[in-house]
Amino acid sequence: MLKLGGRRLQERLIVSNLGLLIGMIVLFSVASPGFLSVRGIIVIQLTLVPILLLAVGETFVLMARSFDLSIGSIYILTSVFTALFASQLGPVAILVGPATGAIFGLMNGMVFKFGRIPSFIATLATMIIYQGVAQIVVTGQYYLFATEESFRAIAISFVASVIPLMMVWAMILTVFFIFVALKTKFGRVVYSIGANYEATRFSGINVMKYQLAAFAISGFLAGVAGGLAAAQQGGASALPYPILLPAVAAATIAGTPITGGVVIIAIYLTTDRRVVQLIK
Amino acid sequence: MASSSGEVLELTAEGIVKRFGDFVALDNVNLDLRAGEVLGVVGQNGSGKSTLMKVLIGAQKPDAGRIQLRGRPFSPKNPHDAESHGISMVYQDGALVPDLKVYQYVYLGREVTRGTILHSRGMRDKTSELLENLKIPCSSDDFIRDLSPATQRMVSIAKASLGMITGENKSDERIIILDEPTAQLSSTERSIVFDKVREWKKRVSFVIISHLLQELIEISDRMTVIRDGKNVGTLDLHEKSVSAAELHKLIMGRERRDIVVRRNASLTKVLEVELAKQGVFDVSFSLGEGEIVGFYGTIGSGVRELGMALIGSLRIDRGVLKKGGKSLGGSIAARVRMGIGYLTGDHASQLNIEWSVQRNISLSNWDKILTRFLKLAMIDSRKERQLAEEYMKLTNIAPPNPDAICMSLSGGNKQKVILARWLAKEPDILVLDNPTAGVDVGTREEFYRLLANSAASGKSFILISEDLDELSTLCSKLHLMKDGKIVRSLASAALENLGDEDIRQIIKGL
Ligand SMILES: Nc1ncnc2c1ncn2[C@@H]1O[C@H](COP(=O)(O)OP(=O)(O)OP(=O)(O)O)[C@@H](O)[C@H]1O
Ligand SMILES: [Mg+2]
Repeated sequence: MLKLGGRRLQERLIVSNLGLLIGMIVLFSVASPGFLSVRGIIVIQLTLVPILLLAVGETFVLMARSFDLSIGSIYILTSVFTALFASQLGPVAILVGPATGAIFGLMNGMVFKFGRIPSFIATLATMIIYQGVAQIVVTGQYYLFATEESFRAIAISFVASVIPLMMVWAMILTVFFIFVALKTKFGRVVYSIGANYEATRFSGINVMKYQLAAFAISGFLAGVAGGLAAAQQGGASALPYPILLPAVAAATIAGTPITGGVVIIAIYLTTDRRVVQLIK
Repeated sequence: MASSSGEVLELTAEGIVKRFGDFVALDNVNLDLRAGEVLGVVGQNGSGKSTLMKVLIGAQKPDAGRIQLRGRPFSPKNPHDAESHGISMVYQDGALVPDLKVYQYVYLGREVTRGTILHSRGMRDKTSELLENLKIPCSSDDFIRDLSPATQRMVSIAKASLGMITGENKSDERIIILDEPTAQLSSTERSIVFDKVREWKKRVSFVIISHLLQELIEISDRMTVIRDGKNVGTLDLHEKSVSAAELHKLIMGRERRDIVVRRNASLTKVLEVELAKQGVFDVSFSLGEGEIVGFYGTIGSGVRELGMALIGSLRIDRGVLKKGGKSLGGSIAARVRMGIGYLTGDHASQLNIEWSVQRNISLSNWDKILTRFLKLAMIDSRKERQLAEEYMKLTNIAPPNPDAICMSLSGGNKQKVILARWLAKEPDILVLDNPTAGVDVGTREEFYRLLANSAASGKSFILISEDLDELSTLCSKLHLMKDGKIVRSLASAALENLGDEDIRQIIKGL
């Protein structure tokens, strides 16, 4: 994967992003009164959640020195599936996102592994396929509504009146997966595959199992994000949503294996977006 | 530095100091190289040999000291600069560029052009000539990454000797530094390298680093010994001959110790092997509990491929592999799970070079470092540390810091990290392919002792080695391979009674 000059540089990037973030918040809370309002803070969080979840998932793939370009499409497709089932399943429909997401992720891994296709190309192909499937599913309807209150509440009930519940889910998952990456055998092995594939194989590890799992996690978290998006928005459309780039950027800049850095970068990129919107 | 009666000094280094952080790798080291001689350099792993050589060719900046080249002050800015002064070096750890073709690599940094266009055909032809001259079994259009480690080694030797063969700079005086050139090579290739050294000696001064003391004594005119970054002394081998045992003592600062191995061939069979791969090997043998069975064969004999087939990294055409009567699965992971391990002297395929020593040791030893936490297999950092410390001590890894990044270790210490990993794992059967390549005499001794003890406690080993000394010391049975077949097997009684020279004769006669 991209190595931006090693640890040091990565640390410096994270610190400088944190600096920019604080600077930007200070500047805009003075310049634009809407920015630090309750509404402003909520908007930032709602934008942040999918970027953060996708970035954390992507990091596992990057750690194994592969790429996953399909997470943006998985995000769309899983939100469509979730919306589709929401009227029948109610709140349980929120599980459709992660479940289907993990399957799509696993399929990515299998195309890459069994097809012996470079992951960049394999997931470029599935990116287009998943997006296409989403379009087919919603054919005829511009928008799939999922307005059931109990379903939507999973994403947009509020904690302390400024923190949407989906932000809480995202933080729990982020902390959990940072722990997995840094402290468990699984994280260590995935990282080792990226560091030296041959050495990992010779050490007696079933490399394929871990590579497939990395892709599955990436799909799973994109699916969580998709499910939450459907609940937050009360439905889903198949329109492409530009989320791949910020997510991959956050994962790449924060570096592998994941640390808290990914959170900082994701918040920075989100705030940055919000600022651009406000300027417009 | 004083030179003895009228010898022409080619290169002298005086008072070289090199620090890495707080660590002093070279502490006031002197070295002089005379015109047309072979200077051997010996010392323990991590004693500073490679660092000294890197200083001489400008790959490392010394913190103090002076270098003179043919009487003039010399401070090379980089290896390219040294090259233009006629000094080239073959690095210990390859330093190859895997994605280049052989001829591109050989001409790297000194490409031949016609106007602004690369003169590929010319470079290709010269490279082919060079490969033929050194009997290297590859073509100038092969990619470096597709070559075996031994062939890669030979190609870097070819690169260093480009000027010697193809006629350019033929009249120039040259210095060639070979940092453990033979560590990965078989005896055939070794003798090709040493024949060339003898042939070129009139025109070239050589510095050669090696841990194989006997071969170095045979080729060197003088020998410089380094210990802990300091000079121990320089011996003139023409004035007074020196034995490997004496040299061992100078290197280690203590006597060589004998290793006692019980060589009783065991009756309980733990592994039964019958493997065939078209045109590569076709062998069957068995391994007893607590046995160390040796394999010897030159390149093309199929020994190294046999090792890879045993662990499952090389596909075979047909055959059976049974451990304790049970057939073994095909993948490396399955075999490791069944209690087989494999290690080789090729770091590139064994080490996570950017990782710490500790993490590299952990890599095969999960059961020793994990705790369960909410059903997650979590790494217990205290256990991990303990494991690393224990086995670093056992294998004598320097510096004794579990957090040291493998990249910064000396070549021999990198190899010890791999040894440490598998010694910690204690598989029932360990396949060793040149395990002591680049490892110093002291650690080698320690490693043999560990191996012998481990065998005595019931573990079994398959030892593939180029080092007859090693094989005849340790093995209870030695299979000699040629053209993919076991052509002769020597039992323990024969190994006890035959000297290395006798065995060499047998091998020659095959
Ligand atoms: N870039 C580096 N950073 C930190 N320490 C280093 C670096 N390069 C070498 N060292 C340390 O300097 C010491 C000398 O290393 P050097 O490679 O010269 O040993 P050596 O005599 O060639 O050993 P070997 O026989 O194992 O090749 C070692 O302890 C090594 O860990
Ligand atoms: Mg060295």
